[in-house]
Amino acid sequence: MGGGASVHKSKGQDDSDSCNTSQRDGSSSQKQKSGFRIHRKKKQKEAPRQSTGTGQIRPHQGSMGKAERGKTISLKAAILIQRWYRQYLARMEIRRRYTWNIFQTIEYAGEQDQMKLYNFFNALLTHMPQKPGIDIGSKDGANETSSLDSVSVSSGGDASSTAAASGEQRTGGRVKLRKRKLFAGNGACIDLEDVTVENDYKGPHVKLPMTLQNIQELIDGFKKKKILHVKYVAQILRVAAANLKALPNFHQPSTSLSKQITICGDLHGKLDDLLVIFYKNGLPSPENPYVFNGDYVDRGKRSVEILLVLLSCFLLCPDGVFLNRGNHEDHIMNMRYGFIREVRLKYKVFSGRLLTLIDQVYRSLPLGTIIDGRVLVVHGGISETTDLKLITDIDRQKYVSILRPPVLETMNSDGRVIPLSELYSSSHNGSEWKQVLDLLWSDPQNGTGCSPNTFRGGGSYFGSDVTEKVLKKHGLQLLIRSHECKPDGYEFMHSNKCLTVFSASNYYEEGSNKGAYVRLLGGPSEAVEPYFVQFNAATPKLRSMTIRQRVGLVEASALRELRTRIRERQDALTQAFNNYDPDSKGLISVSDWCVALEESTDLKLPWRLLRPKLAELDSATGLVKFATTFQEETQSDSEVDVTVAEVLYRNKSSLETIFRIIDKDNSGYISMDEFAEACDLLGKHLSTPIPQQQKLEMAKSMDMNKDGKIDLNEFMETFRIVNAEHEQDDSLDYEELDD
Amino acid sequence: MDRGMERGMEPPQDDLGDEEEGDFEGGEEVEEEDNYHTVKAANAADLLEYVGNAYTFSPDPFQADIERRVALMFQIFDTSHQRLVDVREVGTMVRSLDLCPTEAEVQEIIGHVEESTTKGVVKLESFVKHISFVIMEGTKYRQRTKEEMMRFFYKLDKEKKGVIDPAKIKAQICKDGEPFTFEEADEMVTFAMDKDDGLIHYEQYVDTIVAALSISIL
Repeated sequence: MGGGASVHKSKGQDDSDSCNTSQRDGSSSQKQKSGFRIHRKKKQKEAPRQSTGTGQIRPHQGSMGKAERGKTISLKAAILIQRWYRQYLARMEIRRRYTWNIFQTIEYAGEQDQMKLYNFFNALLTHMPQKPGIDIGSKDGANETSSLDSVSVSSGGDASSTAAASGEQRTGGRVKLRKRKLFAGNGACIDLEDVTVENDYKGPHVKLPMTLQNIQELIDGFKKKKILHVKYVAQILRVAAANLKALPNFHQPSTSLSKQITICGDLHGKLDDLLVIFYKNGLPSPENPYVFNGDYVDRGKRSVEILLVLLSCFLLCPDGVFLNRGNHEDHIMNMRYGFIREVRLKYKVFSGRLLTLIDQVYRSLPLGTIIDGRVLVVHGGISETTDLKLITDIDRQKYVSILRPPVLETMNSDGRVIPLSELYSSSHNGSEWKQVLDLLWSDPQNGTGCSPNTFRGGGSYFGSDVTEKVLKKHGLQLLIRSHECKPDGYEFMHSNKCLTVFSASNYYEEGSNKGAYVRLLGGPSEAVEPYFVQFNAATPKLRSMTIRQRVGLVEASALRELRTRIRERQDALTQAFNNYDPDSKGLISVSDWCVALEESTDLKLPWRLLRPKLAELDSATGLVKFATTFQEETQSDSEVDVTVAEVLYRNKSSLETIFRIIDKDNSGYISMDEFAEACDLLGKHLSTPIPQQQKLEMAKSMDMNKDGKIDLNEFMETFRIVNAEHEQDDSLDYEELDD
Repeated sequence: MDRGMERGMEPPQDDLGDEEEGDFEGGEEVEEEDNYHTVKAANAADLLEYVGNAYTFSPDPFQADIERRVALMFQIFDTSHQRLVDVREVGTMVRSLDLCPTEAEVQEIIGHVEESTTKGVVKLESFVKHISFVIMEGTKYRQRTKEEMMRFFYKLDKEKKGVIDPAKIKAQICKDGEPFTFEEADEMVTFAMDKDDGLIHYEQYVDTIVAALSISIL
């Protein structure tokens, strides 16, 4: 395969040489790096396409002169040096690999939790009695919705989004998207688009209809860390939502005129990556069309900016910008993964109403793109039941959150709420909701078949046969998807029929991965030819580091995150350790240690490999001194005295999500009653009920300024006091935005 | 013929220094012992559970030990927990098991272990079977000792000063054998180069890599 491979190689290689601003890491040499032609796939194995093939080793001949001898020696030396160094790279790759495992496992565990919250939300909807204290934020429109609706999961925080969330799911569009009066939590009535732009506002100005100059100004302003005025934001969001809504569920661009198209994967609030892409590849235009494959927001700190730039480009040039919905274009995801926090920090009192508008954008986003009728671009992937025709006809507007299926689909005839697992099982295979969920949440797997994606908790795993079958069924040649971070920014699977593209560089940590985008060259009459460009929006510091230093840096960060996770589960872990140590010697076998960690943390990781980094061995017996697992922990390992605060702290991310749900008007405050409710619900969620008395004391002690309500900072501050060493864990580091 | 060539061009052993040579060998022996110890400990319930019925470990304790080590490595790379791994990982896995194949040899291994029905994946059983056989046999894809590596660098070092010009090495490894890309070569040279004089002091470099490779993974 040497010959065939090197033909392909040269293209990819040229590319990465000219475009790559970063160094290669160990993994690169193990992965395919080729630009290649889909129509050739039959001839080539999906095998390591290394910088060389067999053909290139020059065997030396029997008799030779002195010069030839010298040559042979240097050749042999080269081979030896190369394979030796490659072995070294493999070692680095192993470290990088388990580091990756840690990040990904923790990331997906979070998503799993989020999916589990669906059941929790439904319980909330059905069982939570309507109490006067609860619907502080639902004055507007609360009357016209049932109690069920008024407590629905509404990040938008005002009742119009609540009504949209559940009411409209039945009527299919009762609440029209329009310029309407919205109510702030305090009852004041202002139209966002009527807010005056103060004279001292120094940010960019936008005047619709969108112009190229507007976009330039916007990008320049964002580069200087300016925040766009809420009036302009509201305008862009409203018009964009209306225009997106008019589009079909799948964009169907043709490249017959442009002769090329660019596809970008997840951006996740990393504005630098988007700007690098525009710098390298030019702004979108009808001649330079782009597909953005979802996940614009969350995680990164500049999600608002990314969303606004992309929507502005779409407004300027709807024939050159195709925006797909990703699994993070979903307010339930935004609660946990930071976008809501970002909007709140940047837009304060206006955030609730902006989030409502953003929800409108989300539900209006098309679900995928089909290029020239032969390349399917969706965020997650497919499943064996995927039927694009069926999806073409659904009303995507009703999926305000993909995590929360329309109410009608979740109720039995007797009104019982169907648990997610059941809803997702085979009996509901035909359901519209599953069709949509699969497009946005699935991952490809090695091997064949199709199974529920238990790792993420939503969507499917699809094997090579599923890709083959679904592509064939729809007359397609290639599936391009995103959704998973890849070390090289892209990766082929399934005999080159399934391509992952991920555009957020340094996603887990500086140095963890490159970003990439793919260009499909040639018009519809030519063979599909992907051409990859990798990039790295990292600091110069990172570029001058060697593989070892980079791997070390990322590894340290992964282990830190893992230790935090372990500490959150300390009680369960200690108990598990003690079970394995009946004689209380403080020592257990490595295997028992591994099992205990896997069971208590719910993380599937190569624990045996990680053990040396996490716990010490007793040199005499070779057993694990298990107490060293919690090295940074100072508190007693007995679980008898677990205070409520500790329980809460250990579930901080769930708690913060719940805080945002209960805080319906997004005012950043919750009332005492609301807090009590939250504790009850949390208790149910954790299956550790919190006593009433403690709950009230907690609430009172948390309300530091004694104004009868708790804000998130008071909330977090309490935890800080309880567990001072975690002070820095609080990721509310947006101070620089408040200038 | 091959070996004859090597011997012909070998520098006298004295040039490398007896003392150092002794050191390398000592280092390696200790390492192997250590490896063996950890592997013993790997007889774990979680591994057995992972492997399940897919593979029956040999009754011979020595062979079973090697098989378990190979299976453990496989498990690390099996992200979908389906006892399948992408063929593109084979190189890394094999190299991490203290084998040192060339790229062509990696292809050869893949030829042995890749599933014939589902291309692009390797099953646990075929991998463990083949690789543990190769390790047991002990002749293929052998890892080089420090001594051997030093000898090769010595040959490249025409002036016998213990240093090599990075540019020279770079040109060579990008041209001959299984060429590195410029990126790879850059990375390697940056890693190997002395920060102060910009030259590769190859003994130092060889030591660093030997040390890195001697850290037991499993």
